[in-house]
Amino acid sequence: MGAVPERDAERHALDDRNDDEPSDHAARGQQTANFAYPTGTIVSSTSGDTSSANSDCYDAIGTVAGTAGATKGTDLNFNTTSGNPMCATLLLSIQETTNGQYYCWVGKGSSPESATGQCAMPISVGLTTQITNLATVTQLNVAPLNGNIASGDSIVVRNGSASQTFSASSNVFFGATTIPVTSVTANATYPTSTSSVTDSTTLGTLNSDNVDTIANFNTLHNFNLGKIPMAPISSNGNVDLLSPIALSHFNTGTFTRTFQIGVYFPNPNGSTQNTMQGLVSNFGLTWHIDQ
Amino acid sequence: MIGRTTYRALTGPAGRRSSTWRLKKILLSMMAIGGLSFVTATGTFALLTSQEANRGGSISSGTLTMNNTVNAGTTCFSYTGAGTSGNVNPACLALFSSASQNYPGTPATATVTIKNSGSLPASDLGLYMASCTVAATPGAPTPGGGDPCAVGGAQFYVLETDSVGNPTYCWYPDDAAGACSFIADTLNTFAGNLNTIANALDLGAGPVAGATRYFKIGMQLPTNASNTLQGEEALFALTWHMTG
Repeated sequence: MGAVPERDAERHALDDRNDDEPSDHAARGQQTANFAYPTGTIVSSTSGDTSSANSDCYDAIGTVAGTAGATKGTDLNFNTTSGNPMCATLLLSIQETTNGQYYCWVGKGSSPESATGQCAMPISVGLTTQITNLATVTQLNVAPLNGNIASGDSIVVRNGSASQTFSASSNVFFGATTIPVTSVTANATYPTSTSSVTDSTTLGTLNSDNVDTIANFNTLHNFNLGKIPMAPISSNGNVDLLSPIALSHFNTGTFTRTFQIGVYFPNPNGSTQNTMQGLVSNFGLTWHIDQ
Repeated sequence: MIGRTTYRALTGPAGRRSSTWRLKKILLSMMAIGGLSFVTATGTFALLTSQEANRGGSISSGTLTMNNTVNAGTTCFSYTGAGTSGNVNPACLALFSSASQNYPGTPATATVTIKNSGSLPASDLGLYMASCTVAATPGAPTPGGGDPCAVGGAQFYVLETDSVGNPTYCWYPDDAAGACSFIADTLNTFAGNLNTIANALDLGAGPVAGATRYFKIGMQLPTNASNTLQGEEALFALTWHMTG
């Protein structure tokens, strides 16, 4: 995960300037250098994320405008990186989709594991087939889904001021291009070019979620502890914990596993998030296999 | 018979000592090989690992900020400048001043240019007037005692225009395309009903990032204004609120 260099860098610099006895160093919380570390040495923290208050996902003030000429983080006088607020707000999800089977490893839907293996991941796609006013609608044809839909979810189709809410009639997974819905008559015409499709149920679920954040993931599953053992999927929402092989070698069995990593900026109703304008959350994921 | 022969072969009264010694040697050799295998096992079957890190990922949030320019005055910004706090600037220029004194039926107008200077589109723009209070016009010798904020007082409108001032939509009081007209008691109604963020005048979506919307605020005393409105002024502020 991202380095938090300031503290260690200061310590090394301090050691370089003082040449006291090592015992004096220890008494003062100092340490004798064991090597001549040249300029450019990479400094990283391997113990900085052992508490929820100290996370290796860190926020920075943005220096690049999202669009040309627009304000950027450094232009603002009301945003702050104190406490890494965006790391503690952004929601992370890791959805496995290997061989058409699904398992939610991280995020809403992972604890407890969803029976369908679906993470709660929002969708925001366009229609690929127009809905015509007064037509009977039994499915929505959409661009490949960038999230999951659970049966019964409310699917909102919007075009300008017109909107209609449909009810998903089955589970729909990442990448699908059709959403079966309970039959209903269209209340307006929704053209493909200007209509949007969202899942208001999932958005509501995620907007109130303050648990599945990047910061919490970083704290619970950091470099030193809490690595997630990723047993192979046996069926949607289930893994084979007794399987001796999690990833077969090249050209045999399942030697490729696919994961969809999602990040969502929740929007708590009625809550102002101005302090997080123009910030950049920096983080990484490490994948590890052994024999 | 078969059992006896077998027994003899195993116990073998003839040459019994040499057979036992040979068996012991075989067993010791096997133990030694087994022991050696145990000792060398960790070196022969090393633990293989592989690791990759998707490092340096970053997620950025956008900005939603507003610029406000009254007539040809100095632009004020929601995000910086004296008095700003939390993306709120309460100190932008006034629309009207008591220096320009109005006669009944003579309109006063001010243009307000609202620019979305952020990188995100505004899903909604709203306008509200937190309060309207009466005061004596500075320098007026004999204030009439009336209240331009009250019923029978000043008339007020909010008109959206294009960039050169042509009317496009009257948001208040008409809520219809085209120009606005002055209607009785409209300052009183606006201040009484559209006075918080929650019940602000809804000016629709936008502007999108980098875009600008133009408004003209109109005010006048009614043509049949009471003499009690002489030497009185209405004090109010208009607040523009943008939501992402």
